[in-house]
Formats: sequence, structure tokens, C-alpha cells
Amino acid sequence: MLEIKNISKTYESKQAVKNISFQIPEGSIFGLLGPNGAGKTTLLRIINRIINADEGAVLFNKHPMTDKDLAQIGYLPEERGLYKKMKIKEQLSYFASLRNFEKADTEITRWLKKFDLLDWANKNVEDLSKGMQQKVQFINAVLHRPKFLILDEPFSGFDPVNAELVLQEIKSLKANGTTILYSTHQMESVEKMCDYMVMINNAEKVLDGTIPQIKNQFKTNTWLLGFDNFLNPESLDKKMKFSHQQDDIYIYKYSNISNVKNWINDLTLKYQNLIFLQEDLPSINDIFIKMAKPTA
Amino acid sequence: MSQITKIIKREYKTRVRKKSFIIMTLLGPLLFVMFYALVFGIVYYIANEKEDVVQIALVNNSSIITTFPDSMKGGGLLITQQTNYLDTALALLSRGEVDGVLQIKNKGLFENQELTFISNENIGVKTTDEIKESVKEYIDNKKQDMLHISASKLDSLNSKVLLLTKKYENKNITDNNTKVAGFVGMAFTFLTYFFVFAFAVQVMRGVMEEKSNRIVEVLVSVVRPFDLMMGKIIGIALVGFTQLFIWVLLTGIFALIGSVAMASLDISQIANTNMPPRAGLAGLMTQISPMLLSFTHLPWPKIFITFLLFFVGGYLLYSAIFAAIGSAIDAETDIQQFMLPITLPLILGLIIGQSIAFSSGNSTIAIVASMVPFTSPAVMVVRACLNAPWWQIIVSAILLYGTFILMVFITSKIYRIAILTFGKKPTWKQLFKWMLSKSI
Repeated sequence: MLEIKNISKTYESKQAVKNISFQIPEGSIFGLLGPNGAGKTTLLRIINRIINADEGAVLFNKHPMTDKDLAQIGYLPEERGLYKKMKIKEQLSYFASLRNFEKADTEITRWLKKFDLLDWANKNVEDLSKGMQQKVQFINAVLHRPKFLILDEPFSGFDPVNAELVLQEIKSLKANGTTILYSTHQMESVEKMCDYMVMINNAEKVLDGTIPQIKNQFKTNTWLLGFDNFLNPESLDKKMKFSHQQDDIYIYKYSNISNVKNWINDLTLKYQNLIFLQEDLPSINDIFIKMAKPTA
Repeated sequence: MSQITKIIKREYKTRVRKKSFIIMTLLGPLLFVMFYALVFGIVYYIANEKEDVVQIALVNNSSIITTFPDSMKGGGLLITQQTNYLDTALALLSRGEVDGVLQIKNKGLFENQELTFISNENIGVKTTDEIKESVKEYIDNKKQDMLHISASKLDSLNSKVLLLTKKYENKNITDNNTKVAGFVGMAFTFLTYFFVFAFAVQVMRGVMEEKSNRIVEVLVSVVRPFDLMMGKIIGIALVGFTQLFIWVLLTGIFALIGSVAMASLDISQIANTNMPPRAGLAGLMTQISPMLLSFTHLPWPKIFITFLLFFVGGYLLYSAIFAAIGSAIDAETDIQQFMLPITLPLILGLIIGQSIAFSSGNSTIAIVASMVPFTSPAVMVVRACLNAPWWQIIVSAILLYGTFILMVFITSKIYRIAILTFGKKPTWKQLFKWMLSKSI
């Protein structure tokens, strides 16, 4: 759907993006991660053609992206706003017309109904609560049925109920074939939602792949073992250590396993009261912290 | 519909529907009319105010004015005491028995009469006029009796000098309307300054609003920054034209109603005076206000074309600069830092425009200021009223519009970078850097 090819961008003396490349497959939710100042916003602005890259290209459906393609893109920036003294319906119509979307009226009614905002259609934005305004901004990004949707921190400002509502809508958009580029700091949501992710740090790409692929890159050959009673410390293997208790289950960590298959066979023979066995994969949050940590 | 047209439409629609626009558009001419009605009313009130009767002590040392009337011409003064000694009269004044002392010195009938009025408080113009008129009337009557001539003949003895100024141009003698042209020029230069400034500031505030409420990021993802800037400039210009058009229309209507009312009032008042019977309507008009005729002799097509050309050009030039400034700042508090240096040339233009209004308009400073694009919008319209040559108007307009195109090129560079730069107070150095940057 979208291909970023060797994009670089420098502002005055600061390099904001350095030779970044990745591909976003059609119909996927693609996570864009990185600490503050890593270059995410610059990259999103280059994709949107708000600013130009110094080097590299953005391919949209395998052709170099042009202004015409912008009508097929939806963008919900992190720094977002609305015209305070303009009516909601008029505002949504205005943006739809700027994107050359003709069936705006029906679509506006459908979305306002979905987000319980229909009664507010003819009210000025300044009369709405912050949460309501966030919903209008989300509608504004998706109203014209974009094929490619860029969401930069879409859940910020939402309470848990509305965040869930938006999450369901994002999933629904994906189910209907929309490709989504999701930029965030919320690692939990990345694990829940994304098929692929890329992480940039200090203007460079540091990670790229599917979520399981990335997790596998950072696994430490450590497994978690659950027992229904506390084990005598003297009976434990040297590589095995008590980790924590979760309800009535005592969890132990076993590290540095060379041959997993043999180890599991030995384990089941040795410990009759073993309840569960699970590989201890790092969370995306752990990986993020590890990768984003400033180098000494 | 192109993107720029859609932006123009939004800018126009949202602004003309604002309550403040509707109120100002409808009330503007009414406020003008009300202002002048108020001034007229105050003048009328003062002129016709019935003052308390002032009691005076007359010290009459004149051998000519023997039987001075007890009450003066307007009935506001009453001579309650008469004496030959000033000290006696002053004693009455200090005791509060009279409000003032009028001393008439001894002068011959054909000499200028000298009068002194002494009071505890400041004396009003109306009172002094009454005294002067009464004495003049008395002396005139005396002269009339002595010389055995009619009142009109006596009046004709007062020689009046009327100086008419004419212009010799292209072997034709025409009226020289400098004074009227000056007033009209001053009005137009102020109007140009007011509109250019007011609407260019609206452009700046509009850009600032989009930046500060963060809608700009979504906007520039759909519309090119240049289109966004030009859409706003043109949209607000159309709002200005709409307001101006309605103001002209309403002022015309109010002025028509007002002039009809005034004309009937004037004519009825004039009918009671001793107007010569020869007058006729043209003569009457000439007598009422010779300036009205000069007004009709002004080069109106030239004035209107120049006004429109330079009003539009001035607005476009300044709004392009103001748009760039609006894109660079986040906070209201930063406005002054940039506004003052930018508005100074326009203010200078206004000052030059006002100062040359009553001259020939052909001084070096007038010509230079009417050619420099930053001052010409306020100056050239004054010179047009003073009948500046067409070629100068055209050259100046070309310079103005050329500078506007150059300025759009420069300011759009600042705009497209500055509009996405948040939380940083820009400096002039920074703006200059953005101006020179090759891309964003």
C-alpha cells in the first residue's frame, strides 16, 4: 500500500529523519513507535506531503505519491484542533469538500449518529466538551472513507469508554480494508492492535517487523513455570529462580535454556506439580524502553 | 471547485455571518450619520440655547450712544444700572447686584467703537455677539439717520473682497478645487488606511487562529499552504468589499434622506432672510455653499479608479505580510513586536497623505511617497484628488502590484514553515532564515 524508500530530512543543522525505509502492507495496522523527538511527526508530515523529504521517495500503491493521492488519505494529527466558531456539520462538510468527497451529508449523519453527536450537529465546536471535540476530529479523519489512514495518538483525550469506542471503529475500518498507520506511545495498544511495527530512535529506524518477530528478537531464552505450591529452594535447579506469586500460583523463571525440547521433557518428569509453562517474551513496552534509552 | 475557491468561500461565509460583521456593516453608516447629527445637534443647541438673562451695569462714556436699549438684541442682556463711573459699576459687580459691567468708550461715529465687558465668570461667545450686534445696529442706525441713506446702501459701503482661484491647464481655465480636493483626499486616504489596516489584521488573526487551535496541521495535509494563505487573503478581501459596498450604499441612502431634510430646512430659513431675488436655484446653491460646486468638479473617475486600485493593492500587499507574521506567532502578546515595524510605513503614508492634501500634491516627497509601494496606497489617492497625471498613477500601481507578487513569494516561504513551528517565539533573524530557505 505504502512504501517509504530511503527518506532523509534535515532541519537547519538537525537531522530529523535518516535514511528510513519500510513497507506498510495493504489492510494492516502498522505501528510507528519512537520516543519524543525521534522523527515520527516529520515522517508523518512527509507521508502527507506537508513537507518535502531531502532524499528518498514515498510510493503510494506502487507509484510515487502525488497531491491527487491525498484525497485517499485520512490524517488525525497529534496536535489537532477545529474551528471553534464553526458548526460541527459545516466543519465536517468543509473538510470533506476539500478532500473532494461528494457524499458528505449521508456520511456525516451516519458518523455523528455512531458517536452520539447527532443532536450537536448544528452547534459550534466551542459548545462541545473536549471528549466530544476529539470524536469530531476522529470523524473528520475518516469521513471521506480513506484507503490509508494516519492516526497520531488517536486515543489521547478520550475516557476509557470512548477510547474503546474509537478502538472498535479502528478495527472495523481495518476489517473494511483500510490500511492504518498508527503512531503512539501506548505500547499496550500496539500489542493489541498492530500487525506490524517500526520503531525509530534518534532519526533512525531501529526495529521493523511483525509483533511476534520483534518479540522473538528480544527473547532471552527464559521461561515461566507455575506451581501450585512453594518449592523447596534446595530442590531447584541452578538456573531456576522464584519470580512472584499470582493468586495461589507460585511462578518461577528458568533462564538460559539451550535445548528447549529436552528441557521440557526433563522438567515434566522432575516436577509433578507443574501447572503451566510459558516462554517469557518481552513486552513491546520493555523493548521500547530498552531501545529508546539514551546511549551513554 | 478549486481548493482556493473553497477556502475563499469558507472565509467569506463564516465572516459575513458573524454578528459583529452584521452589526458593524449596518451600524457603520448609521454611526457616521449619528456622529454628524450629534455634532450638528450640539452646534444647533449651543446656537439656540436660551441663556439666563444677564443683568449688567452700563458705564457709558460715549457721546454718540445716548439712548442705549435696556435689553440687548437677543433679549439675553438687561441693563439694570447706568453710571458714568467705572468704580461705581465695579462696586455693584462685587456686591453681586449685577452679573457684569459694560463700558463703552467715547469714540466718534465713524471710528471703531471700543467696548469692555467685565464679569466674574468667563463670558460666552453668544453674549459677546449679542453686545456687538446691538452696538453695531445702534451705530448703523445713527449713520443711516445722519447720512440719509438706505440700509442696503450702508451695507454696500462695507467693501468685501472675494478671491477666486482658477487653474490654467491645456489652454483652458478651470476651477481650482484645492480645498475641496484636500478634504476629499483626506477622507479617501483615511478610508484606505482604515480598510487596509483593519482587514490585513483580520488576515493575521485568522492565520493565528488556525495555528493556535492546531487545525492547521489537518488543513495543510489537504491544501497547499500557498492556497491556504491566498484563499484567506482573497476571502477576507471580499468581506471588506462587501462591507464597503454596503456602507457606500447605506451612506448614500442616509445622505440622500439627510440632504433632502437639510435642504428643506435651509431653504425655509433662507426664505426668511433678505436674499436677493435674482438668485434662482443655481444662484442659491452658489450662495449656500460654493464648495458644493467645486465638489462636483473633482476628477471623480480618476479618484475612484485610483482608490480601488490602491485600496486593493495596499490590502493585498499588507495582508500578505500580515499573514506571514500571523503564521510565525502563537500568542497575542507577540503581535506588537512584529506589527509596529510593519505598520509604520502605512502610518507614514497616512501622515504624508494628510499633510499634502491642501498642497498642489506635486512636491518631491508627495511624488516619492506615492510611488513607494508601502506608502503609495495612502498617498496616491490624495494625489488623484489633486489631479495627479495618469502615467504616475499607472506606474505607481504597477510598482505596488509587482511588489505584492514579490511579497507573496517571500511571505509564502515564511508562512509554510512558520505555520508548523509551535511553541517557539520567532525572531526577525529566524523569519529572514525561513525566507531564504530552499524547501521545507
